[in-house]
Amino acid sequence: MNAFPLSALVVGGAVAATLAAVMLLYLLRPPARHFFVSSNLIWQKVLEATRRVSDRWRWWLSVLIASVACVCIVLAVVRPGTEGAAGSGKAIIVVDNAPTMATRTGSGAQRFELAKDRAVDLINDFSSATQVMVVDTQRRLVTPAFESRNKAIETVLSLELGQSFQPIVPSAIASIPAEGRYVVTDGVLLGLPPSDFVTVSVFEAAPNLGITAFDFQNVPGDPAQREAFVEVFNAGSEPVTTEVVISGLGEQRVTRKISIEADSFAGHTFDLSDFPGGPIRAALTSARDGYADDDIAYGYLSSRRIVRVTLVTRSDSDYLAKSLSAQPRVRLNTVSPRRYMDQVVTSPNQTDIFVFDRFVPSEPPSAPALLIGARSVDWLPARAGTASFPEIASADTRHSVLRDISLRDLSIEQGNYLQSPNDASTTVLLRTSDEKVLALAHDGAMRWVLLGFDVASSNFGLLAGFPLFLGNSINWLADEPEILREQPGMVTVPFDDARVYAMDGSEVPVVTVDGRSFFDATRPGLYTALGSDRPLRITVNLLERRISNVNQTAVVDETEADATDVADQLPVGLSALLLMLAAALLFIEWLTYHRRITV
Amino acid sequence: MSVELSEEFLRQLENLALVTRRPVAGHLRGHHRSRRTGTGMVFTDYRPYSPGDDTRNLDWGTYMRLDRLILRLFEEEADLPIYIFVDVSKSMGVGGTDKLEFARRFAAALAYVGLINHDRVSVIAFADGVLSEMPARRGKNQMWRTLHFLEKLTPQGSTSLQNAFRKFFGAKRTRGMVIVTSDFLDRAGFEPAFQVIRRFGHDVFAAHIISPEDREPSFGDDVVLVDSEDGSSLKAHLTPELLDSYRKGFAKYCSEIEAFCRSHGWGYLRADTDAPFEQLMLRALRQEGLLR
Repeated sequence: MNAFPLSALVVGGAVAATLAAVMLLYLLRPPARHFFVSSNLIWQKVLEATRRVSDRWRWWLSVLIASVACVCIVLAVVRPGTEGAAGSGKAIIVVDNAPTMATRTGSGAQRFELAKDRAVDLINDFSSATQVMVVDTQRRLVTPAFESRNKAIETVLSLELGQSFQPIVPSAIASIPAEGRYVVTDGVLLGLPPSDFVTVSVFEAAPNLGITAFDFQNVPGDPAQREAFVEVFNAGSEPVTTEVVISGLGEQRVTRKISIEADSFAGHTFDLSDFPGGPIRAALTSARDGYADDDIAYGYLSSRRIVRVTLVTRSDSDYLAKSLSAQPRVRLNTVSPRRYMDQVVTSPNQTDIFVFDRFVPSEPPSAPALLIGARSVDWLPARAGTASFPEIASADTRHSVLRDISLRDLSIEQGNYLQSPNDASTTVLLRTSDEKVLALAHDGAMRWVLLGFDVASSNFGLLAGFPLFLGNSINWLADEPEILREQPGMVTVPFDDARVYAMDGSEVPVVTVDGRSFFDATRPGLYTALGSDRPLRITVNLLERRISNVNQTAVVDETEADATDVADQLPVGLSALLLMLAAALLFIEWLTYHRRITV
Repeated sequence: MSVELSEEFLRQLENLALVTRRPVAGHLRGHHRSRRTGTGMVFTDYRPYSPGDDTRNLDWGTYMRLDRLILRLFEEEADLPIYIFVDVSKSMGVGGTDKLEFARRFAAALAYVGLINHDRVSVIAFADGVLSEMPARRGKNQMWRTLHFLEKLTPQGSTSLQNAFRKFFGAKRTRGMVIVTSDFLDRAGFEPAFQVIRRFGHDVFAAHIISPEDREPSFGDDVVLVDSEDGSSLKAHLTPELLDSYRKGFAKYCSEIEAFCRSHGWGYLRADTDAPFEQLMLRALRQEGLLR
């Protein structure tokens, strides 16, 4: 049986053929047998008493019932579709190309390869006149359209896996009339497809170990000690023992064998004190693993260098000092402005970064500086007025200092506006709704970050982003290489015309739009983006529990489905109604036949 | 086709005699009561003596008391004219059990009873009229002629009882017993025909020959029923309900014939061809009062 509705012409032909066949069968019915009886005298009386309808009417009534029943069956089999889609001869096939579709099945093939095979089988089952639209859940096919079967098969075969964690069945295709809608998926990331779609499942449980977290941190109290945290998830149904290997650029290597229960996590800490810094890689070694992309995670370990920070403040409050000293690698020295002035003369090279709190030296400092609550001096932009509860309109989160920081709740009781810079080396970090400047970052011969307000006259110190701001500022001022943590997919580089290189040195195609650069990171890895004054390190890792849990499908009932079952999974609709009508008519025919109403 | 009657059966028939419910009008002496007075054994009346009367019947006791010659009258016993009508229409030849064969044997047996009792037996074959007639025979030695006549009968024509009776009784016939062996499947109905017989005052006995096929048709489904006599056909889809209706209709038709006969004091026998023939003759006919 064809798995797909036929075209209107073929359906019409099938109906006409059915009617002709029914009529022919009635006409070819074997003639009634002749029986000689003694006399028809009594038979005539009996038949006249019982026969109410003429033979001709009975014959036509029987033909009518049989014809309608057969036409119903034919229509139910060829499924003309419903309402607007009736007779359109169109079908939509959504192929799930979410990351989990890369999971290998028991046959060794990926679920995605099985899905493509199923999709091709479906298309081949359609009638030759059927127009097919192929859609993917990752929107790799930008403008899907109805096309012939052969082209649709080519489209299916050209599909590639995407990296989005949120695959979707595009809602726009719901309004497109089509007689058949199918989703070929493993049901892990996509979940349950819309109800008007027939689900073709390619799910098959597979063993999988995956790294779901990979992070570094300094040991509290000892900035020189560093450790890595690795979380491993066992998505399989059996306990597994695996080996976690963390390796750096040189000979550094840490190995540990761990055991993980079925469907559970295991977190482990590794001492990385011997690692000098730079790229670092965590890998799992497992004999059987269905999904390989989450077996490796990359990171970039910053240098072990201690940053000497001198806080120049006249305040008795030690809040800022504590916040700075909590930063990793920071060795803090707090001095008063007077002391600062004395030390500048005696030992000018004992500080890597200065932090000036409501104090600005009249001469530029000898090291990069973070100036909080600045006042007018010659070497800094001048004041442009007093600010009182200014409304923050924009924050340049593309700048390293404000990256990953939300300043939506920042409230400044009192501060100073700063004069807009007129050189390209100075960047406005915070701007009010009336285009006044509240914070600047200068990237010249000596870097500085200037805030027009201080911590005491604002709630900045209470915001969650404040420690991050201090860390970003110290890293930027200390000229540490910048690290961007991303997941596979489209990665945004915060500057235009970037040149991106993969680990093997090959250049990755980049698109620049609106002052930013974009490239497609198809697999986890370590990338380097050039184009700014300093290289930008980009780590691309899955690190996603939803992906590593490749056995959590939402289409459990269709795991054993095969291509021939598709026809049996057709939506209950007009076909079922037609079949029920046919059954009712056949029952009526049986009833009327035995009651001599029909012949 | 020969008419077979066993010797044992014939011996049993020899002890029987046909019984009529009314006096007969036979011309020859016989064993049946007649309306005439004569030399019988049963006293009926007196009348004055006339010269020429048989003086053996004078009542001498009355003469001694009254001094008048009074003659005693007796019922004269006459023979019984028996008219055996055998239906030889085509309908009698339909079915696994031949109704005509049954009718032949039935007629032969009754003729035998009549002949051995010195009744005048006539056998008439009819369909849509009188087809052939065996003239009145008397005496046991005429049995072979009777059998020969019956053996020559073959199914032919359609049934018309009325035509047959009118034609036969159109000639002068002595009043007697009319025995009709037929399936009575006459499109004109049986009543007009029986009225013809009734007008002539005959005693009638109707032997309704019924075959199992007529009584219980066994065919089913879509059939064309072809009338064996006129060839007319009826298309019918026979269902159990319809067959049941037919059975009821057939039973009603039989009942109507029987009721008509009973209402006129005639005998009626439903003779199923699948019933034991000899038992039917020896018991059922005696129960019906035809044989004694």
